[in-house]
Amino acid sequence: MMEKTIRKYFDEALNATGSKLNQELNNNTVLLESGLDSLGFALLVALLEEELGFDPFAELDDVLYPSTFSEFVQVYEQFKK
Amino acid sequence: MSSSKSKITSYLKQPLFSREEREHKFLLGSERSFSIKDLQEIENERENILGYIAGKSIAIFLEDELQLSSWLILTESIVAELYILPVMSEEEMNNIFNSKLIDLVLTDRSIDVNIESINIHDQCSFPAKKKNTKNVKTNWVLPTSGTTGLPKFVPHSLSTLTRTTKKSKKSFIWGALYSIKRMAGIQVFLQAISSQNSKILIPDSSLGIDSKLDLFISHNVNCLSATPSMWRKILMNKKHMLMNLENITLGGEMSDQNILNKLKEAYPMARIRHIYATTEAGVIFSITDNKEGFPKSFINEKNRQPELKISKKSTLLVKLNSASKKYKITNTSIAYENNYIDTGDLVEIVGDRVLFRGRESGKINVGGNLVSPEKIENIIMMNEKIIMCKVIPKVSSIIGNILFCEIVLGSNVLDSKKFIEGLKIKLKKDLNDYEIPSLIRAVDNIELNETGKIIRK
Repeated sequence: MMEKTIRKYFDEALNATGSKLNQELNNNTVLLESGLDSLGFALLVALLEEELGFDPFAELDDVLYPSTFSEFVQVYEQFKK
Repeated sequence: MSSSKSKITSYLKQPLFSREEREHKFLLGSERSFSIKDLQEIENERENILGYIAGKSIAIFLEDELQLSSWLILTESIVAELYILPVMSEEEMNNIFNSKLIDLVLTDRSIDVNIESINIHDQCSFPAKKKNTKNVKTNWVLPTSGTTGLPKFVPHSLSTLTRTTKKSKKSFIWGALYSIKRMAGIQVFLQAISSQNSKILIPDSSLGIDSKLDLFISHNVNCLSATPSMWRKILMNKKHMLMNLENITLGGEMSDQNILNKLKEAYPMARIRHIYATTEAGVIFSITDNKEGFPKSFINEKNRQPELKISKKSTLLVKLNSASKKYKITNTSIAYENNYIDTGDLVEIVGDRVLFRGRESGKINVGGNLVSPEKIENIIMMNEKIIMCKVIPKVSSIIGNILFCEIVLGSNVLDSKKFIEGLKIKLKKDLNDYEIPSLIRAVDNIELNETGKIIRK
């Protein structure tokens, strides 16, 4: 469920920043090489915060910044618990 | 303007009005209305209360704005100080009352506060006191929203409040869109009652804009004052075409050329003016040339009242003359050097005009660049198909602030997604990169706060 939401906003962030995915977005995709730039990321996290009501990167002291897509999804799934 | 003052107090004191004048209903509500005769009857009925509060420092906390307008007239020249309280909690009121500067609060409901409260509806049993017939110079103490959320209180007299009021023989029927508890609403109220044939229609504050427009139309309101954001909402409602407006006033927010043009188009016969005022200084100037901003010649002009300067930070400075120098309750200074106050409004000289660029406090840091959301909104709104626009910062844990933008599109835009794509391309030419919102969303509505301004949180 979380992954579906994240994928949806990932697309929206891509659209908004005029970027395109340069590969398929799967578990092992390295985020910073996906086609989404840092502004796009900031937008994605902001959109997810609007939808979910939280921003794990703002609220957790010790967040291991995710490098792959599945790690990114995990951060959100773990926070939600 | 002593003639305005005597006009208000003479409503009650001078029996020399003709019967027609005394019976002219000039304070109109959704259900009731008041004439001078009605106010004189209330004055008789409430003689005890008025005698009791004479010469005192009182707060007035009335929800019903029509009642408030009538009590402003009744207490003028009777009480020493009149604190007009905006909507607030009992706790907030007690914080103010703790200053011990206010003797009692006049209210229309039951409240639990730490000073004496008198309900205007109660049959109060006060000792029958002979009313003080000497005219007291009443201080009207008005709230202004401080940046911390707690209101600051600015003292004024009726003469400072009516400094720019104009008398006219015409029959002007004003609609009250602003709350009468605030400077803007009080200005409209005083303007409306300053002339013999004028009236003011005060709808219930609980009514939505559609219902208010219905009331205005049915009462033939021909003068209306509102913020540019409120005007945008009014123009969105088709009923606006049923009003025959002769006098249009804008204030409270920057009036951009776009809204001035749209109003001129909607009401070609109306006189349009945008007013620049602050609660501290009152009305600073009023522009009737249908152009945004104001003439550069106003800056440092020697005979201008009040005098204007531009600070090193590019904010507009206004010299306080007759108005009081300190806020009530906190007793802190209003003005700084040489009696100038900093309005906190950013300005820029463009040719022979000074344009407003937004609030200094509203600037947003986007990747090290300070941007003004109002400036971005005005540029976006140059597009005719965009009716309202709001730019807000989204605090990002990743890169500081990013800009979000909401727009309300005209009904003639069929594909909002395509429109937004086109808009973004255009904005690349009109704005710096860091000023372009990361996200632009079409929405149905943009909320305004109780003073008719866009909520920027």
